[in-house]
Amino acid sequence: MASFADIQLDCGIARGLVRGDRRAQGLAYRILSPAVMGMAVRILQDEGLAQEVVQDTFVELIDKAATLRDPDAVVGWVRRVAVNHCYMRLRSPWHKRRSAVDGTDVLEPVDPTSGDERVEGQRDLERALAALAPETRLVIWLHDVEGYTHREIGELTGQSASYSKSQLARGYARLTKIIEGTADGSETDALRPACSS
Amino acid sequence: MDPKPTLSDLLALRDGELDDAELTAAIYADERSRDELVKLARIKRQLKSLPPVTPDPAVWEAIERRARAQPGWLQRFPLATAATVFLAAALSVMLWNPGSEPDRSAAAPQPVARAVDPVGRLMLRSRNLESELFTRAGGRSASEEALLYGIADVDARLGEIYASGSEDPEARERLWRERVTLLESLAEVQRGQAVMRPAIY
Repeated sequence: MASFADIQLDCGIARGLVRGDRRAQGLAYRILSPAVMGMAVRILQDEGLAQEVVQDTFVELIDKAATLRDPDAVVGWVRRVAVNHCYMRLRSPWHKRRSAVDGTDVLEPVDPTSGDERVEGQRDLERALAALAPETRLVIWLHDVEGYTHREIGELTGQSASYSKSQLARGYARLTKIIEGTADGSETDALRPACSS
Repeated sequence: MDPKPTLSDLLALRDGELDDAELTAAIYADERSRDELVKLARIKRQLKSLPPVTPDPAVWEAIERRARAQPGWLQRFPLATAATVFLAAALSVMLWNPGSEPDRSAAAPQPVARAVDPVGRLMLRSRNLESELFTRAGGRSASEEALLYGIADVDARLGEIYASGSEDPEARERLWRERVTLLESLAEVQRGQAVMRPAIY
């Protein structure tokens, strides 16, 4: 599962992080980085940028862990910082321009002859996600996978809760079409006018 | 007339955010809407079950490099370091200044370490090791860095104990013992390196 909600960080590791213990830092990275990377690569659709998000998030964690008052809040803190880093990159003019011209898959292709329906379904979903506009992808991921409310997404993006709801509906309309094969996944939404900011 | 559900309504119902009873009833009554609802729930389930992605191993190496470029352990634990320096200074005054020891016999020389409790002996040993270690010039190896972090960690815990005024001699002794052990390991590592260097060059 890719969600942060499924992750439990041992309180000894969390306390070690707060103390600046290097072993704890390494363990926290091993436990949390796949979730950060999974989220970043799906939102940004760029492996290099996703790895930058992982790097920035954990450098910030190591640097600021001593200021965390509640060790139990480490997972939520990491998620919030990672989401902010994703959003910052999504908003950069460079990323917007690049998204408009590059629609290649970023995750390793699944062997189509594997016969595993679940894996095939995942591949279709990954492809459909990649075809959405970046901010629509962000809203879908934060709402459906990370459990953000529309109000929280609105606060993050500087928009209203209604904006988040409409992005979710818009994204689902396109996702279902692509998954059912009634829309061409290669035509990215990024070519449309950018989402309102 | 039955209200016609939109995709937003279906998503809101799926997520438990729809508070219109009439609309909810209309959705459940309509077979096509029910099918749509099932489809939307399935996509959400699939999204949540997408596997995590392991970053390239080079990412952690880059993080460590960047984190190490940040202020080191002395800056990371300034209070603990200050507390340790203060303790070491206080101890040296206590141990080396004859005037501060009113019961000391003038007849016979006193072994310095004998005059204090187990914690005092550990503090003295700690101080002696530190004076030996931190006069050494040159860069530090990864093992040395790891041991220094361990010492900084002990210092932080000692700092907390002293700052809180806790009267727990066992905890103090345990931490000072841990500190001495780490310093001895550090001394071992440095002695090993001193032996290795002439052999290499």
